[in-house]
This record gives sequence, C-alpha cells and structure tokens, in this order.
Amino acid sequence: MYSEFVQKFFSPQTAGNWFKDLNPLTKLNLLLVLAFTALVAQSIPCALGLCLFYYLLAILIGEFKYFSGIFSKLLITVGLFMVILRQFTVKGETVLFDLFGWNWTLEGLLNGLKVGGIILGFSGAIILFYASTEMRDLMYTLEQKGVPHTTSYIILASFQTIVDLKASVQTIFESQKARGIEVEGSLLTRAKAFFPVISPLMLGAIASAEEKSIAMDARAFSIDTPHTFLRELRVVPGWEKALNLAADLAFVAFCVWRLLNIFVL
Amino acid sequence: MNSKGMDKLTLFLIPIGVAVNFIGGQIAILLRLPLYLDSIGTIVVGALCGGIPGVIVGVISNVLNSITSPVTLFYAILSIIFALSAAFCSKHKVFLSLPKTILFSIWFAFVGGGLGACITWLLFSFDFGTITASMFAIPLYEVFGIPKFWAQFISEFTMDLLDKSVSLVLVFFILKSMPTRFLAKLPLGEIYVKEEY
Repeated sequence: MYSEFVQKFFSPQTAGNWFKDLNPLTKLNLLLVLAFTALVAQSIPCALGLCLFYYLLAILIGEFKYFSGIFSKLLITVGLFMVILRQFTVKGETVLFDLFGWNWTLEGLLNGLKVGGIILGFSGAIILFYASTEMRDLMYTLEQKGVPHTTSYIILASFQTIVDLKASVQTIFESQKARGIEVEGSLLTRAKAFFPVISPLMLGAIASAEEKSIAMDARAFSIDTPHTFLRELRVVPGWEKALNLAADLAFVAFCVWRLLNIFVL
Repeated sequence: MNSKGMDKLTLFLIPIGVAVNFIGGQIAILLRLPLYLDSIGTIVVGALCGGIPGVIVGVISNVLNSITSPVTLFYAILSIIFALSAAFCSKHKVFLSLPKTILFSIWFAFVGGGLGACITWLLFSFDFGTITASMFAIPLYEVFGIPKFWAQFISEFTMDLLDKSVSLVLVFFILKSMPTRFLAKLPLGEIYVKEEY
C-alpha cells in the first residue's frame, strides 16, 4: 500500500480530463484569447455563442456546478441588470411592449444584450480558468518559468489567511457583542462597531506574521537554492504549444480584421 | 519580486493585507454598512512597507476577487494607485494627523470613484455600468439632466468619498495602535514609532 502511495508521486499528477490536464499556462492563454475575443468582437451572437460554449466546456470538464454557480449570478447581476438599465439610458424609437406605462424599446434591449453579453463573454472564460486549474499547479508552472518561490508563497498563503481570518472575524464579532459593543442601530453606531472588530483582527494577524516569519526561516524558507517539488506536472507536448500559437495567431488576425472593418471597410 | 529585495516581515504581511481587504468587506456586510471597505489592507501595507508591497497586495486582491467577479481585473490599476498614494502619504507623515488623513481621503475617493467611473465608462460601452452607482447616477441623469458621464462620475465619487473617509480613519487608528516592537522592523515603520522611544 505504501509503495503504491509513494509511486504516485513519481508520475505526473493528472486529473484524467483532457482539458484539466492541459498545462495551466496553455489554459490561461486559450481562455484569455476567448475572453478578449468577446471584448473585441462587440457582437451579440459572438457573446451568446461564447457563453453557450463555456457551459458546454464546464459540463465536459465536470465543473458545471462550480461554473454555473458563479456564472448564473453574473447572468442576473450583469446580464439582466444591463438589459433593464439600458431601457432607462438608451432612448429608442421601436417600442416592443409596454410595462405599466414603461416603454421597452428594441434599441435599449439590443444595447443591453450587447454590453451584458460582452461582459459575460469575458467573465465566463476567467471563471472557467479558475474552475479547471488548481492554484498550486499554476504557481508551480510559473516557478518553472522563473518566477521566485516567494510569489507562490504569497498567493497560496493569501488563500489560507483569508480562511483563517474569516474564522477569527466571527469570533471577534461575537466577543465584542458580548462585551456590550453596539452592532445594531443607526448607521453611525454600526460604523463605530467596525473599529473594535477590525483592530484586534489586524493586530492579531500582524503578530502571527512575526511568528510565521521566524518559523519559516527555521524551515530554510530563505535559502536560495533550486527547490524540489512533491507534485510534478506532465511535460507540455508539441501539439499543445502549436495549439497555443495557433490560438494567438487567430486572435491577432481577428483583431486586424475588426480594425479593418471599423476604419477601412 | 525578489525575496532579497523585500524584508521577511514585509513578505509575510502581504497575505495578511490581501486577507484584510477581503475581511473588511465581509465585516461591512455583517454590520450592514453601505460601504466597500475593501482596500484597508492595501493602504496599511503601502503605508508600513512602501509602494511595491502595497501594489502586490492590491493586485493579488483584485486577481483573487476575479474568481467570482472577473470584471474586477480591469480595476486593478486603482489598487496600484492606492498603494503608491499610501506610501507617498506615509513618507510625508500624512497618517500621523487625523485631519490630514481625512483631507487625503478626497484624493483616494478621486482615484477610486473618479478614475473608477472612467474605467466603468469604457468597459460598459460609454454608458452606466455598476449596480450601486447607477442607482444614484440614473436620477442625476433623468431628473437633473446631468450628462451621463458626469452623473456616473459624481455618484461614484460621492460613494467612494464616504468609503475612503472611513477606510482612511481606520488606517489612521490601526497605524496608531501598532506596537513599536513591530513597527521598528518595517521599512516605513519608524514614522509611526511613538515619541517615548
């Protein structure tokens, strides 16, 4: 059993999914190309097509629940909100229907769909990247490209510190309430309650930074020698590099075509 | 970023600054305050450790925020300016005086609200964008006839003025309550070391 456990660290760590197992930088490049395509295209069909593609990809990589959880919220807060907002701000002539005396126009609807679609087309790609990539894999890849290990520490420690401080906030909040600090009432009363919550949190966190600094130094954090890694990623195959290049070239070509359309044709 | 160029304590303060940016917003929600309070960590680290560590805190905060709201990536420039401004204010001893701190909140509000409004304007195809600002901007545009851009600018600036005033007052008290033993180890900490030492 132990040898099986040890053996799995000798081979590259894979998720068993073709997209998830792409190199993190390849995924970042491909999804950024899609994100910026939504911005450059400025078209409703392109944005809607991209959104559908993101949903499909999320299903294929087994991250539909995570993706739709975040993306659906954006659909409402950005997509739906933009459609409603543009009915106020875009004055149109073609009335589609009357909602209790409020005329909904085609011009407002199209503008709302376009802007909402562009933002969602951009956002979906970024959410998919986070859904399909573990942060430690991204940081490992960046370290291999020459980024200092301190950067990896900062990013990964930030996630952990957020979790730790979130737990502390609740404790401090309840403690201060128990000591008689007013957390209900007028805006000023509630604003004043902010100080006794954030101050102990901040000072406690800073004290822990001091302890962490000593502890990490004792574990040779500052030693400037090549590092070893417990987790290895698969070697990037040639076709993946070619895919990256093809996506970048296609995006540049698309940008040139868009510029020609706007300024020349 | 080189670990040699940045002292160890600064390095360990960066994740805390990022977490405080998140937690500030969370406490504001817990207390039902109509404020963001999401740049306290950036300003504190900028004031204590200098511009570059503050910029790192700001950029990482924006990147982590983009996990749930990718559009925040476009606003990372604001965090960079907050951090550089905090370091500038710290070097010029602004955070030692409460009136000066409150006065400088106008600059921070101009960056967050004014420059933020310009980014929103570009991002949302030269029209209103964010939900909260639009709630104020639409009446300004519809009722008072103020042009769209200026309606957006005024509403975002006003909201940010309140937010940044509270944030900077908090930063003032946090810096004031820092133990000297700790301040002495930070690049800009000696500015805040109390007289008796």
